[in-house]
Amino acid sequence: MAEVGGATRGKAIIILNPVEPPMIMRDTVFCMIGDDADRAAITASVHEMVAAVQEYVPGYTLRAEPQFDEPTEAWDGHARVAVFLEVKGNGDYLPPFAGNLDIMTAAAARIGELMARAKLEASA
Amino acid sequence: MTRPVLRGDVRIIDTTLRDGSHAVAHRSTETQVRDTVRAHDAAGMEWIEVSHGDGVGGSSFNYGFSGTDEMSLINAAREEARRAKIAVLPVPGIGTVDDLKRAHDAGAEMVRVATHCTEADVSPQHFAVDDARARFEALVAEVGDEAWVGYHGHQNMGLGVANSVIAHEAGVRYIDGSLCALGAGAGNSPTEVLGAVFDRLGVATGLDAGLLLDAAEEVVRPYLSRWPKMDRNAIVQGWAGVYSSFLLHAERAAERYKVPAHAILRRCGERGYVGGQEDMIIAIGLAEEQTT
Repeated sequence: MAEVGGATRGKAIIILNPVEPPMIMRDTVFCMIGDDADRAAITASVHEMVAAVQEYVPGYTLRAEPQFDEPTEAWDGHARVAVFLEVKGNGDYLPPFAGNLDIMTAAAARIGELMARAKLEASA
Repeated sequence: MTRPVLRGDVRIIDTTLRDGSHAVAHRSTETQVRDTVRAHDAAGMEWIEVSHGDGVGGSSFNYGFSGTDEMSLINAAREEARRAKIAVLPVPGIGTVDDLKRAHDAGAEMVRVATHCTEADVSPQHFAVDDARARFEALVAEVGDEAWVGYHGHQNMGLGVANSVIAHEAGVRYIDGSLCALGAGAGNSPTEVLGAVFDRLGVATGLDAGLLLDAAEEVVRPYLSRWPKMDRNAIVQGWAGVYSSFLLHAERAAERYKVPAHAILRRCGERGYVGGQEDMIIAIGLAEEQTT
């Protein structure tokens, strides 16, 4: 999140749900923002990124509009945006609830395609 | 490696400054920690657990940020304690080895690793009396003399202390408590009640029951913003099988999305949400708000 995503600081928390009953993978991203941050711009940017990912992970969707929370003392006067994501796997080999595995494979396949395309363009 | 020799018939481990962190939204101060540790030391408490409510490294948007860095609190506790030792709790997936190293540097000498029972194996989280006795006996039989079995009770259905008594009868030798029940949901088995009950039963804890009562009344009670109680929301957690730490999160979502907290909690129970899914509480609130 820091190195690739560009956050100043990041923390990931692992959740292990029981498989019965199966739950389609959910991810929530909380991001600290300034109290004067441009919320419309943030929302637009989130939608843009979701659309970009959907090109290679069709099951990647927003479950709700980004939620903004007002600044509080507990957050040193910062505000917060929460992004609620669902990742439904394609179900090609693994069940749809294994969205976390699906997205990694989809990302790898996508990188492969982009590299191949770049190679072909370079030699053209 | 052999299990430690016990001072008495049962070892009480106090978690006012760890599980209790949930009840104070992780805003414990150094002064509160020092005062609590001093009172515990006087009463003969051997081990005092100090960490963020969700374990070391738990400070985050999802669980709530610590008001004071937990490492300073651990350090302050260590400095204050004359006889007592400091324990920490990591949850794999939340805390890392680096957090443990820092905790050790800050003065922690015991680690209690916590995990959801759904991660260890599929088993119901909540049990009462006869189920409890059967489980204690099974664990004690399985573990033998390789280690001590412990029990950490909550009061959502008023059974924490009762189960602790049964646990001891079944061979469990480590019992957790929190002063003033300070903890998630309706709170933990109150340490001061455990002290009094075991004293009445003639079970040696090595603790001064009277001084534990003083600690609860004169040290912890004054700094409580909220005394854990068996109100509707907390009972629903026990009843619907919901992770106790969800309580304050559900109440916040209830206020934001104008949905009753107990309804949110029941939904959490239906869906089998586990600790770490506090974000889903917001999602439930949102979904309910959208349908009304």
